[in-house]
Order: sequence, then structure tokens, then C-alpha cells
Amino acid sequence: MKHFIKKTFESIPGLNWSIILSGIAFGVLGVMLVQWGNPKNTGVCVSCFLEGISGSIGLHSNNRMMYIRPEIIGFVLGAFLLAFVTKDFRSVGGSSPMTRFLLGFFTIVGSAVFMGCPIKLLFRLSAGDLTGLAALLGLVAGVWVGILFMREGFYLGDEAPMNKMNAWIIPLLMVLFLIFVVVTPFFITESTRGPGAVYAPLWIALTVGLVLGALTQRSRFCIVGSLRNYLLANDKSLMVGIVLMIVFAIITSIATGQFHMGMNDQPGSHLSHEWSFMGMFLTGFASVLLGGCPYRQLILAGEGNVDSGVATLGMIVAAGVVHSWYLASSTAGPTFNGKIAVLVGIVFCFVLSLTNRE
Amino acid sequence: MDGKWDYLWESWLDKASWMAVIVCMAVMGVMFYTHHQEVKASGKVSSPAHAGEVRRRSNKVEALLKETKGLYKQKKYDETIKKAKQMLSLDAKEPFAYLYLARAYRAQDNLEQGIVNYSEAIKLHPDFVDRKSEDFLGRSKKELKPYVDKAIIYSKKKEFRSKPGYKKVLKHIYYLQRRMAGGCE
Repeated sequence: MKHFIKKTFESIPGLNWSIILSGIAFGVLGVMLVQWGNPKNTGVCVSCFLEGISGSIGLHSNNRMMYIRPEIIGFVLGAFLLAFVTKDFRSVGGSSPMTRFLLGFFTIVGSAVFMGCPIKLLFRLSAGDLTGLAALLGLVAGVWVGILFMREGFYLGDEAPMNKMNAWIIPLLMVLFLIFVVVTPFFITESTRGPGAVYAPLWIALTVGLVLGALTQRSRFCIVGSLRNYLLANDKSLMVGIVLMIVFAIITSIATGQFHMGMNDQPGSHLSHEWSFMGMFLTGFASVLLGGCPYRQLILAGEGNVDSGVATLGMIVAAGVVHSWYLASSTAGPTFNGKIAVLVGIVFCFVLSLTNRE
Repeated sequence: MDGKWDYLWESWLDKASWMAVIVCMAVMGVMFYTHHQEVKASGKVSSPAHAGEVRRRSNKVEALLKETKGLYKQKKYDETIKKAKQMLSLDAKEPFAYLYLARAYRAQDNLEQGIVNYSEAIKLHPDFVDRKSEDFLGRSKKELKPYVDKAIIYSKKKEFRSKPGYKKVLKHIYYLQRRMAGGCE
């Protein structure tokens, strides 16, 4: 066994224990969150959880999607605390903030049309939901197109050290959200029905969020990043984490009775495969241009990256808009507005990629 | 122009990307046109109902709903269907009209119409499949679950698949299956 581990580490440069632990922890804890109370197949979903937060603070009026998800708070604060302790916390930014805001916005639009972010996509597949296959192809295609532009010199500009206060804003916003969850002031709304009313206990969700946030801050775990590194530089180190996440999610799903292979009776899914593909294509494309998936943006924002903080704000705004403008899909399928928004997002990404090259 | 914008049209990637942009814009144009035509033909307002939207019934619809419930209790299914349809002519987004249509059709053993109307009712009012709601249909063990299970078995038979328009009904059956599986809406 020791020999096998040593060989694996030698054959995959860049692989370290934090990547392995991140993959295993994500796979197991993500599925367990469903067991502890989160909606089915939604152990962790950045887009769904941000939609809940947006609704709760009044950015949309769908009263079935309103709850400040402690997992999101945990991700950011876990990354923040570990980065602070290990002196990784640095205030940097200033690289095309408005563009990043819009890219963050479109990652959530694409996710809302598919009904899940790249992490939820993997959890859905791990639970046997085959409707995720079209979305997985879309994600890979989106990442691949983004990589083509990276090879052609796509660049959003240099980041530079910034005033320290900038880096504290997103972690402090999360502290504020945590206070809101605990105190629930009158202007914060919580769903009493629907997916917003289905959640794991606060302390469990927060602890899981903190653990995953801290681990993935160390490992730089990212779904889109792992695909990008593999396709761009044949770097398999992050991919090992993703594979472990899928394997452990499948094992945990089977062990907890959540595994159910098929297409027709999958929770939180629709059968519009072409729009699942397009939605995840947009998310993959926009995420590569941003430098990481929606989850990675949260972690980077926790580490003090102001650009990712701006992308996070774009994601929060999008999470409100997808409900207010009827962009989000439902189990009945994607909406007309959602389809148009995905096409607009793809056009935006192409034009941006064509015009931002060095 | 002095070749200032040439870099936007140099490589195969540039050309393919502009083609993709044009295709996306063209698809959007076609989608807008067909959507406009559909809305014009159906006369319906294009905005869908928000899940969980709080809606107010007019007095007329409220009175019709009361009558429909009464007729259904008396097992007068033809009249229930008539009244429910009347309700829908006044308010096409009234979920209880679809619910009573579904119940009446179910009682009449019209599986296709029963399924389609249950599906429409749940799309408009997700509380029908929400355990935390007073309107949750799952409280009656006889209502939705066994009916959908029956529909799934029936949908695999040749008798069902030889009927015209069976694909549309099949979509509704799959929708009900997914909704009853839980998760996000």
C-alpha cells in the first residue's frame, strides 16, 4: 500500500494530501448533508444556495427559495480562517472588476438553467442521475472553448496589491449573514415551504462548510480548474481530487440509500438535455475566463482576492435575478427567458474572449 | 480602419467564434419570433406563474370553486369537469380547477386527462407535493402516488403507445415522477 501511494505521488506531479482529503471530504460530507436534511441530490450547490441567500435578503420574491445557507458562510469563513493563519490572506485585485462581475453573473445563469452548479452536477451524477450527462458534456465543452482562447492569449489583466479593507469585505459580509441566520431580523425571510425550507441543522451545515472551505483553500480544489489544468497542461493533480470526490460520493450514496440510477424520476432535474448542455457550457466557459468555478470564487474571495469578491457579488445578484426574471429552470424544464439568457451569456463570453487578448 | 481590428478576424478560432455569435443571435431571433407567434395564437400572457406566488381569486372563481368541490363530493363528475373548465375560462392559472379536473377524470378512469391535469395543477401550485403544506396531496394515500405508479405501468403498454399524442402525456407522467422524487423544484 505504501509503495502504491508513493508511486501515485511520484507519477502525478503536484498531487498532495490536501487534494486527496478535499476530494474524499467533499464526496462524503456532500452526500451526508442530504442525509442530515438538505434537499435530495443537493448536498452542496453554490448556485442553489446563493439563490436561497438572495431570496432571504430580499433580492427575489420566490418564497420557496429563501434561506441563508450556512454552508456558503462556512466555505468563505473556512478559507478565510485558514488563509489568515497560514499567512495566505492577501488583498489583491483590480483585474477587470466589471467584467468579472458579469462573468460571475453568467456562471449562475447557466447553472440555474441546468438546475445546479458544477459541484451539484457531480453529486447528481454520483446519485445515479443520468440527466447530468448532457450537462457534463456541456461543462467540458465550455471549458475546452475557454482554453482555446487562453492559448490565444486571453487575459483579464494584472492583479495588484490593494488596500487591506477590500479583502475583508466578503468575509465580513458572511459574518453578517451568519448573524442574520442566528438572529433572523424582521427583514430576513425564511421559506416555510419548498426547497428553501429543507435544510440540515445550522451547526452541522456550518461545520461542514468550514471544514470544506479550509481543506479546499489548501488544495485549490475546483471542478473547472481541474478540467482546465488537465486539458491545458496535462496536470492531473486536481483531477485526482475530483475523481475521489465522485467515487466517495457514489459509495456514500449507495450506503445511505440515495443512489438511484435513471433519468425519469430524478429529484431536481429536467429532461431538456440540450438546455442542460447549453447551461453548463455557459458556466464552464465563463468559469474558465474567470479562473475558477463558482465554488472556487467563494474560496478565493475568502482568501482576500478582491476580483473573486466582485465575481461573488455578481453571483449573488444573478441568484436574485434568475428568479425575478424567470430565468431559472424548474422540473418542468427551462423557461423561454432562461434560454435567451443563456444565449446572451454565450455571446457575451465569445465577444469578451475575442476582445481581451494580449 | 487601418487594420486596427484585424486581430479580431485572424485565426480559425476568431472566425469560428464570430460564426457562433451569429448563430446564437439568429437562434435568439427565431426563438423570439416563434414565442411571439405562440403567445399571439394562445392569447396567454407570456409570464409564467411564480412557484409559490400568492394569488387572489375573484369572487366569481371562488364561488365556482365552492360549487366544483360540492359537485365532486356528490360524485357528479361530468358536472365537476364542466364547472372546473368554466373556472379556467375565467382564470387559466387557477390550480384548484386543474386539481378537480384531475380528480374527476381519475374517478372516470380517464388516465391521460387525469395525469395531464394533475401535472398542470402541481406546476401552478407546488404545495400539492410539499409535505410542509396544508394542501399536500400525499396525505391521502389513495390520491397521487398510486395513480402515478399506475400511469407508469400503463405507459409501458402498447395500448398506450399506439394512441395519438401519447408522447405529450408521457412528458406529464415523467414530470410527476420527478416532482414526487423531491429535491429542488
